[in-house]
Amino acid sequence: MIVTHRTKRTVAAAGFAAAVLAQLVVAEPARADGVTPFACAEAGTHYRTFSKQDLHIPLGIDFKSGPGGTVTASIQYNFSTTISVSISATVSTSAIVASAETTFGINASVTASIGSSYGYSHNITAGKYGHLQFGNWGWRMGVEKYVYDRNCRLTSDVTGTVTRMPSAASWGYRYWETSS
Amino acid sequence: MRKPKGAWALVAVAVCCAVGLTACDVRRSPARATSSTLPPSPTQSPNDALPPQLSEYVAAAERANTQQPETVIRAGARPSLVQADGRRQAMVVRDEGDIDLSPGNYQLVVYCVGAGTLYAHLAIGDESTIKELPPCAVDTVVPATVNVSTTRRAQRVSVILIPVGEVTAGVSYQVRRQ
Repeated sequence: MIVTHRTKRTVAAAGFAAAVLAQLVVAEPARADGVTPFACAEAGTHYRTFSKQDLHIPLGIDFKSGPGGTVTASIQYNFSTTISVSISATVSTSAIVASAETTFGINASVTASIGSSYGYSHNITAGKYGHLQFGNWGWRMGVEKYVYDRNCRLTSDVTGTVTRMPSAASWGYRYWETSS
Repeated sequence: MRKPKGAWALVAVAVCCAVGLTACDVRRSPARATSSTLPPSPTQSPNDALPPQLSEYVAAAERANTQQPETVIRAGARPSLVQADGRRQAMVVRDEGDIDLSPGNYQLVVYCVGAGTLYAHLAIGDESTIKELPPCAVDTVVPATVNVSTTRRAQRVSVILIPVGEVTAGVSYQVRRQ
């Protein structure tokens, strides 16, 4: 049989590839359960957060005064608030907070606490009642939990709402007025 | 297949931060020093406990923030640092109100006692200003101001005070209508 130069090169390349493949097989042997490791880099549980909105999480007393004049809030002590999620699946609140922090660039927390509020006073429009409420400035947002199996098949996809996600460091008062 | 969006979010955050810092008004406000008996300088604590002089800074900031006839909002003094879950945590002050405000000039006056710098943000309706305040001092109370003018009625007022890095200070403020 006549073997051309080109054919020789092809044969040599195929031999090299086989050798490399053999090396890979040696380095990454099949497991006893017959499953090839690292089949799907995305395998596992994922969380996606979306549609963030600011939310004042009220804590303590609603100070009300009026009509007109000034409403004053006095100091209260020991506040704590925790994340709340409405979804038909078990979820990791820490993972949701991590997802929200990377997605939105926020500084959130599973639980936020503070030792005391502070005094605050606000003028009230004539004829109206003024309200002051201390709280944590957090967020409300959508959340999606989805799971890929080791073969990269989507096996679960559930959407819900984070009804309350506290910020790690932002606290303060919200003021509003009512007619009665 | 879904792609992780975290990297894009981090880039967006970095850009926003850079833009935000560039946009800050770093001009210093005319300040008037107020004589007062003030606590000693802060010392760095090796652990996460709050500096012992912090409560004295808060008390000094409270004393400086006196009600004036033109005061619309007066917020009592609070620390720039709190202890949460056994560790030191900077506190961002954010107070907001839904209130009908007439057109005019509004001034945020911030009293800071201690060490460090704050960004102050005042929003009246759709008009807002953010500014880097003069550094807080332990031996004087320096009232720093942020001004906003509005030509239309406003339905919202917002004040945000953000510590720049670790700030050990007591902070109070008021909003005045001029």
